[in-house]
Parts: sequence; structure tokens; C-alpha cells
Amino acid sequence: MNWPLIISQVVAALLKLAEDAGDPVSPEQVMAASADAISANAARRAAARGANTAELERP
Amino acid sequence: MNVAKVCFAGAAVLVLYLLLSGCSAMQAISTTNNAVAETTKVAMPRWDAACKSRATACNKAGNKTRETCPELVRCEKDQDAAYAVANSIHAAAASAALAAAAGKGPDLAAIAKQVAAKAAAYYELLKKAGFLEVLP
Repeated sequence: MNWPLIISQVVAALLKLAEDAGDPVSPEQVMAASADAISANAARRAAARGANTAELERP
Repeated sequence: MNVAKVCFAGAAVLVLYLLLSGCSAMQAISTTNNAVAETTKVAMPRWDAACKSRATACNKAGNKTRETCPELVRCEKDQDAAYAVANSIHAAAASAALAAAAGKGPDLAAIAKQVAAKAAAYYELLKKAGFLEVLP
């Protein structure tokens, strides 16, 4: 077994996990994500309603 | 020195670090908030297609207005209810973040639990409606 390679890969993966989880999310990020999600929902809904109306009234 | 023991010890230390540093209530709220947004992206196009198929059926039957197509109205109304749940989760996450940013010290752990419960209800709603086969 190539222990140095295995150890380096395990350490790299764990460090990446630690980096991701240790980077605390800011309240501003959460607020921005929420605003984006709500506006995306509104846009998606409006587009779908328009498509339904067009489909309904199609000649 | 046993290499495997060193690896396990290192992993245990890092997991402990993750538990202590990475699992804040704000992190949990953010994760749930993002998961709900991603779930919406997956489920709603399917719901859109289902509603559009109602519109197609009504059009073929000569019922070309919403007044004469209750199936479409019902489909859209149910979808709106699902959107309302999703948006209420996003709004709860945003208000918790706003309060935290203002230093008002909200009980973020309690809010995180409420948001998680709402998200679970949202997944159930989408699953029951048939637009979400697998939990994310």
C-alpha cells in the first residue's frame, strides 16, 4: 500500500471539509440568498402562468 | 508508529473541529434555506408541466378560459400554496438573519428548528403532489 499517497489524500479531503464548514455564513449572505430565492420563485411563477394562459387560449 | 492510528486520530480531531465550528444555528438556517431553493428549482418545473398539460387538455376540449378550466385553476392554486410555504421559509431565514445582523440576539437555534420543520413539511407536500421522488 502507498501510505504516503493515502495519507496525503485523506488529509487533503479533511482539510477541504474543515475549510468549507469552518467558513461561517454571514447574516447578509442568508438575507441575499432568501431575497434571490423569493424573487426567482416570483419570476418562475409569472412565466408559468403566462405559458398556461397562452396554452389555454391557443387557437 | 501505526499509520492507520495516526489517520484515525487526525480524522477525529478534524471532525471535532467541524462539529464545534461548522454547525452554528445560522449555518443550519442557511443550509436549509439553500436546500429549499434547490428543491424548488427541481420540483416546480415539473409542477409547471403538470399545470400546462391541464391547459392543453382544456384547450383541446374548447375550454379556452380559466373560468371554463377548473382543473388548471386548481393546479395553479395548489402550486401557489407550495410556493407560499417555500417563500415563508425564505422569509423566516431572512428575518432571523436580519435580527442577528442587527445584534438583537434572536434564539437562532429555535428558529433553525422551525425552519427545518417547515422545510420537512415542504418536502412532504412536494412528494405528496408527485413532483419530488427523492429527498434531497
